[in-house]
Amino acid sequence: MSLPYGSSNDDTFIETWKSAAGPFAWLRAVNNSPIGKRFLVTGFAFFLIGGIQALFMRLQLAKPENNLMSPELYNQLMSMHGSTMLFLFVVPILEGLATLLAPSMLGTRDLPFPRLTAFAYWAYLFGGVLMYSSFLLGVAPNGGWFAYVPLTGPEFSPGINMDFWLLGLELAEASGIISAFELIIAVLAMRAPGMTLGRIPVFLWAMLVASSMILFAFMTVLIASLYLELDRKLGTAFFSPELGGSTLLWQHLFWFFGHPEVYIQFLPAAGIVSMIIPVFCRQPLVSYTAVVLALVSTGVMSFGLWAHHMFTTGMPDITASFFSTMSIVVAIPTGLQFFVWIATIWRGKVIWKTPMLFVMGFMVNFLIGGLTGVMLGVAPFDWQVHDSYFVVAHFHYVLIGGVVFPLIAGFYYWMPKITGKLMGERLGRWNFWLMFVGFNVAFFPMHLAGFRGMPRRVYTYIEGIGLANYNLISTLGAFIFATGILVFVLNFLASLRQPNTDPNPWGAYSLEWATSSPPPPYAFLTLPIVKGRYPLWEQEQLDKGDEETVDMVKTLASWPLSWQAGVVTDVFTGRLREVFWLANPSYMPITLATGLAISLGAMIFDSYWLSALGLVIALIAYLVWMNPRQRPTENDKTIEEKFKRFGVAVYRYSSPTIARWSLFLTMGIALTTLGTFLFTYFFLSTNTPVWPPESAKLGGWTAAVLAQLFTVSGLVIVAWTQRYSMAGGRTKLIRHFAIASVLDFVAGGLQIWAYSQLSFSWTSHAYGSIFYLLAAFQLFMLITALVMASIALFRLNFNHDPAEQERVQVTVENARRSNYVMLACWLAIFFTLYLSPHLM
Amino acid sequence: MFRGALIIAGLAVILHIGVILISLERVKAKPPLAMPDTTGRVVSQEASSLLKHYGCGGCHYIPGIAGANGKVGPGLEQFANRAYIAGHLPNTPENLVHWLMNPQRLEPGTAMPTMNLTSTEAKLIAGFLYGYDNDAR
Amino acid sequence: MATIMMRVRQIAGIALYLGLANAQEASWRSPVNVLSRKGLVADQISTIWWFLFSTASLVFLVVITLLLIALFKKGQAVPKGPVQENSSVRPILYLGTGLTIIVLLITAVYTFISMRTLAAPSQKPALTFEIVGKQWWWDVRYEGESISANELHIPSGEPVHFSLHSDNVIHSFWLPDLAGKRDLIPGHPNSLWLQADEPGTYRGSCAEFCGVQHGKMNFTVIAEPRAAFETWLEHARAEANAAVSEEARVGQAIFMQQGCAGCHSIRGTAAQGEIGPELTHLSSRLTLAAANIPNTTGHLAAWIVDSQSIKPGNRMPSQKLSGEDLQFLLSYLMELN
Repeated sequence: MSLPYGSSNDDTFIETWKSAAGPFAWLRAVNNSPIGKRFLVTGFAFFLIGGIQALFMRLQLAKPENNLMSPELYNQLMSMHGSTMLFLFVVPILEGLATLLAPSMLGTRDLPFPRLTAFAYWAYLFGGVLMYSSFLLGVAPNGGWFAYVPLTGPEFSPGINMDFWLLGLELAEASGIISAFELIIAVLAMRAPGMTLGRIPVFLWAMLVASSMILFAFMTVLIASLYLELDRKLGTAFFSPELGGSTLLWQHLFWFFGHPEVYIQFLPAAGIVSMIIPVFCRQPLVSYTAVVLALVSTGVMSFGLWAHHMFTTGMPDITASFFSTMSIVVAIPTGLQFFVWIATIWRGKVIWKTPMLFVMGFMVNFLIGGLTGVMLGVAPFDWQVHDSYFVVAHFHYVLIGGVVFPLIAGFYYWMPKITGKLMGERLGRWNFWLMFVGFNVAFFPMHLAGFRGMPRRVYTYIEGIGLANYNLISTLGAFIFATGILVFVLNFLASLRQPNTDPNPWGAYSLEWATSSPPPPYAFLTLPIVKGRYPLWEQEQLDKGDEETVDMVKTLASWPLSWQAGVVTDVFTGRLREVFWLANPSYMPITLATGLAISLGAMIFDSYWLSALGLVIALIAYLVWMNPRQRPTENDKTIEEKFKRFGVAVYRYSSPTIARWSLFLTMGIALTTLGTFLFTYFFLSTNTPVWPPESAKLGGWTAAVLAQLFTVSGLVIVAWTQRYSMAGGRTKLIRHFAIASVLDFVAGGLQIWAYSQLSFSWTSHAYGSIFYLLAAFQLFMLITALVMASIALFRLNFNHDPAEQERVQVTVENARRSNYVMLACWLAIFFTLYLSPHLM
Repeated sequence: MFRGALIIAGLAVILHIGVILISLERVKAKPPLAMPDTTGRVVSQEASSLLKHYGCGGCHYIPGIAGANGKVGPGLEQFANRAYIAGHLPNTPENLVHWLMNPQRLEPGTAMPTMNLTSTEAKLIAGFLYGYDNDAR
Repeated sequence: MATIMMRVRQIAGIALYLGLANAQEASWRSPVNVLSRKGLVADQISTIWWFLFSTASLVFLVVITLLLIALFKKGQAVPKGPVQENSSVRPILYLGTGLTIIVLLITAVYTFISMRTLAAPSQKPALTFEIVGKQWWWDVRYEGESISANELHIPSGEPVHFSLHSDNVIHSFWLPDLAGKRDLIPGHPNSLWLQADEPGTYRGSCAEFCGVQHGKMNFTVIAEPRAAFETWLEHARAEANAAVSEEARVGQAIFMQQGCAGCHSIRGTAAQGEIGPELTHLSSRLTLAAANIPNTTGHLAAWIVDSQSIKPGNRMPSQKLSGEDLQFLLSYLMELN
């Protein structure tokens, strides 16, 4: 075989899958492989920038009472170092790695939404650039990466520093959510035939868990930063204690995001380790199931320990005990993974290559970080070392030891799948030892500095209190570590001159090693047929299997050639279910991201007209995006018939299954938002002696109750449509949706009228702030449901193309489901705003 | 190829360490030898803690004293090269000691307060300030 | 080169470096240590630490030993063909995970017990100080009245209660030698108790990032025998001495005219400002600028005329004063003992 497995020599096919051509092609490139690489490069660039900031801070701290920089500059660097590393480096680069590798690891061709992949990248890039543009004006964010209120509120941070942070963050986090969204669907629904749930590579299990966590966790931080931005721009009172707000609300929301965030970063890293160890020990993981269960349970538990960041805020002992226990218990699954790795190594024959070295560095450093983590979970001990350099040491052991080391291991390991080249082993060893030694020299003394009373985030410390030597050693170590990173960069650049390597230079087992190095943009022409967890070790040939599947993958290798076809497989069994059209290159993702960036950027300067213009650009881009002009034309009746016989549907548009998944996840996001708002409402209510405040009179009861009746009857009518099939009941469907839409519309009007009767504003009290926000969300959900119903009505009326009826069917289903979720929000909000004050 | 990269990396290490040392030197210059040989180091340590105690650094820039970055009065680097004290007194050791002990008497109304230094303390500090002349810089 | 050698020597000595106070420096500048066992609470936390440390060291040694054996013992590569997960090494898994669970459960139980003992002192504290965190200093209040700033005395050998507030941003009160920290949160009053076992001077600092000068927001607590403490408290609550010398009287007038009184209060005078620290007994304090510089004439003069260089961004503007006026002002302030 002259071509590596999976490669094509058909010109049309290659042309179809090539990134767009032309001078501005890179602006409209979609698909996972070019975008994934951009994620990696951008993420790494942010890593270097954040690292240089850290080096400057280390120089300032090298000496007591040093005068290298002003406290203001130090605080800016400190804030941006944290924000860069946590928001702009780790999560994006891990998502980028998964974006690039997931399709080839899953033995398929691309992620479900190639244009969304591109949008996620541009949103991330623009979010980061927006945040960093503050440096040009000398007003970089200075409130810390955790941005505690009230320090970051309008009173104590009147400058625009934190606006850059908040708005840049919103864009970057939105990108994180979108990438997560795609990865979840890809792992669940787009795999090679035969890849059952139990055969998914561990790294992707980890990404699946981490991505699901991102959906919940990132939403809370987005909402928290929305509150803060509203406080800053519109004068709401979410965080003003004198107006019924709460400063602790920020901390709860932030850490409800911030703690899972740590695991969002760690779990994929652990996944990388679980991928690499078997390869370099030539042994399967001792227990795949245990590792997967550990990942899932860590993910679930990580949502129950956020308050261990708040032990010193003075919480009741019973609460502290609960969070202490959770923080200690969460170490069990991680311990389990550790022993799985050790047992695997025990069995196997170790091959000492650079990736393995880094994994060993990870094991040592992360062990230390994990142990100090358990210590910090013990509340009384935390009272001493909280917010001291002990904590700084701890989380760098966890985040550098636990995430950066595996990440670098992953780069060495997967570089053939990124650039096609192997990186040098000799420089690799230098790289490892410099980083390992430098890391420990830099961060170990910080434990001791913490014991010596050095608080976090100080720009200097006085002489004669015994901190000078620890800090000097840390600074030296930081520079040794930085040299290690530099060697990595050099090694990478040197590797680019090497010829491309074999498909599988490490003798690895997972599917990405079956295709060439680097993989072609489509990853696999002939989709591999998977029969085990370690396909390349277990299977002589990847295109052998039961007759039907072989027939299908062979057919897919020759048809369609002129449009990008993706496949949907069954969540559990990995059987082929659908073939669908992915997307064409498009300028819309970058336009949409630009529109949003303009809109958010203009807000910083209170230029609301420009901001609105940005939104208009974004909206237009979105509409064009949703209605692509070029649809695939190439079709082949016989082939489609054949697929149909095998139970596989062919769609020359988006996949109904994926559309259902998308709606499911979107509604999950909507409900998370609702949950966060309601949490805010009840948290604030318990925090204030009189709730609602005397001044706030609820009005418009009749209209509000009527509005509920209208929406409920609208829902009944929509629910009724479940009885009608597309074929027979089309007119009834149309009638029902039309009536329901009218009812919802009236309900909206009534509700708006009810709200207009209120005597209080959103600035007078935190009650008003959350009240109007809930009201706005209620109406937003109504509009969403109306839009969904309108799309369904439109398609029911005008789309009679028999090939697209499945699509119309899905639109109807999604309209129905979004109506359910909308109604849940309405009733929950009505209950909260109108009824709950009388029950408390 | 690798060897070239290795050399660059080696240079980077040296460069990094150089950067650190320079940044340290900038702040903490050589501890000066106020008195020759035997007792030199003790004297300079004692003097520097006197300087810190009395707060000279709050108003004057004094190389080698942590936190001595004041901009109120003149910088005190290479003090021996200075011709005058307080604008009109010739810069002699006697004058400097007197000035340190009671600036208000030598020039009433000057911003520098009288801090009640003993003459031993004033001599130690004077010695420290003149010590900079020996500095190779 | 000599410098470098000196630094190298210094660094090499770190293992022996116990951080003893520099004899020439006032003890407010001396090193602190979370493990020093100088206070009842810190003492118990330090016991917790040694428990955690020994457990963690044991776990570390066991895991690393296992890992090293695993790495360097002779292993084998999996043969071609269907891959079976090997069950012969499962005992490592069961044993390791079992031990992890046991160790962690012991830790959790131990946490509960220690939290219970730390919840309240055995003897009800007789004294309550109120600490209000400011940007970037500490207002010390007793029975509703500011009596000091950045410095307070407590009786040794008995528990003292602190009620902690903030009317601006969040701060955190941390005295490593004596007790763990507790945050000062606007709209969320907190409290803390601690006990200094022996008389001594203890350095504390703000542990929550609170703005540009978070790095220079320290304080000093002086523990002394009950009798000495009571003398101090009585003195601290008394009004300021009347200015005695001629210079001081002129200085007082300057203090009132120059605008100092707009921010600072001196009990017993017309100065009633509430923005900056109270100065009633200023010259009896050890430090200035929130325990960052010693309270000597030179430092005080520099602080008045150029506080912005000493603590950039702090709320006190550098004062424009003639040299003469400065001397008068200093005379007055130095008399406030």
